[in-house]
Amino acid sequence: MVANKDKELIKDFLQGNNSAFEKLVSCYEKKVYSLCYHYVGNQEDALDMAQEAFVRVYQNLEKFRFDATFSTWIYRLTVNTCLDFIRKERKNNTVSLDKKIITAEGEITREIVDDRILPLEELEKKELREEVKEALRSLPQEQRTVIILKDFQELSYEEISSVLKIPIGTVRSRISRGRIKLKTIFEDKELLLGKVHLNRQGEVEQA
Amino acid sequence: MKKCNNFEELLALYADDVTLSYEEREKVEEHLDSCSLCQKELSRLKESFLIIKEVSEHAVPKNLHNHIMQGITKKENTKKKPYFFRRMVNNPLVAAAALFFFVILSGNIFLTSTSNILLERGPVKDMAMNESAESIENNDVGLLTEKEPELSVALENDGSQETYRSEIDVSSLDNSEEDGKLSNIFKFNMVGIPLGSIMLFLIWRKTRLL
Repeated sequence: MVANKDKELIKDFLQGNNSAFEKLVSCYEKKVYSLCYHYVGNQEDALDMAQEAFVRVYQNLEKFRFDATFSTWIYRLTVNTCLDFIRKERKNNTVSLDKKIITAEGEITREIVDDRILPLEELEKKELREEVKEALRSLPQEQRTVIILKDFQELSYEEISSVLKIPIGTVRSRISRGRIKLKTIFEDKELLLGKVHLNRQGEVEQA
Repeated sequence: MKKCNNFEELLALYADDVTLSYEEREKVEEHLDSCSLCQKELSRLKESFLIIKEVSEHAVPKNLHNHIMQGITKKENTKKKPYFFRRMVNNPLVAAAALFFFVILSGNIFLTSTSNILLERGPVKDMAMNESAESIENNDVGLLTEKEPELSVALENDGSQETYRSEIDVSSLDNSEEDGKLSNIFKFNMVGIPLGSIMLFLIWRKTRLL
């Protein structure tokens, strides 16, 4: 159903109807943005990445051959946009280090402001978020991509396999290796408090 | 312990429950029943999975849509010319009209250029002949006696200059005759080009509305 609607919108756009494109943007902007957000880790860059991704969609839509679903295609474009961004960032390494310090400072000041309004729980969640971001960033690029697509964006193995054009077996092994690595990072950061231990016994009994 | 290494990767997939085949699931659960180490490992994996779930929600900035559309309109403005061109080429009517005018215009240009070549041909040919004549003369000079060359070259030069002048006279006469035809062609172009472009523009507007 969604695929058919996308098809019609794309055809409309290719016939010169620009409002059809805006509808496509509305349908996918949140997905694209959150993918970018998990990749780059901050709102400002994520906004620019989402914009860049849609500009690429706009420029390349006539090359879309309907051989995959539009959402697969748009995910692929977005992933590539993010990878290009990260590659660029790595090239200008000194600049990006400076940038990180600045953003970190910015977020600290924001937290101080929020401190009076936010309850303790929210504050903890923010700190947790920062830790997870850092952990994600330290993953190898291949594992980071599949973890974001699977655990953050909740795509299926099949979808990830067609987005990245790799076999499902590869997707699975990357995901499991990524998850194990994330778990060890969390362990090193002492983020795992053993909360789940009790719950899990119940679950195992159920299964 | 050695057995557990085989299960590590499966356990990581097992942590979110839905992604294993029935056989794999049975295998993992059978092992879990007998291995407390793997039970602990699974609980840690599940907890880190929960952390991810907890954190994966995030706010979407309010200006997201506008920000994206700004980028698009910016691209659209810079892209307009090729887009206009492609639209023209895509439309059969426009393409036919464009072809028609192209043929007429190129025909005119061809006519004017060929008449120019005809006018220029006389002197050009003559120059080439002079050069070859001179070179032959010089070669001959080397073979013949050393006193005579100055005279012969001078004579030859005089003769060629005379012929050259006469050719120029003839061509200038031709030129004045052809001037009338040329100006007619230019007049046609002066009318034809703007008319053609106006028609093209009108047709383009129409296709744009369609």
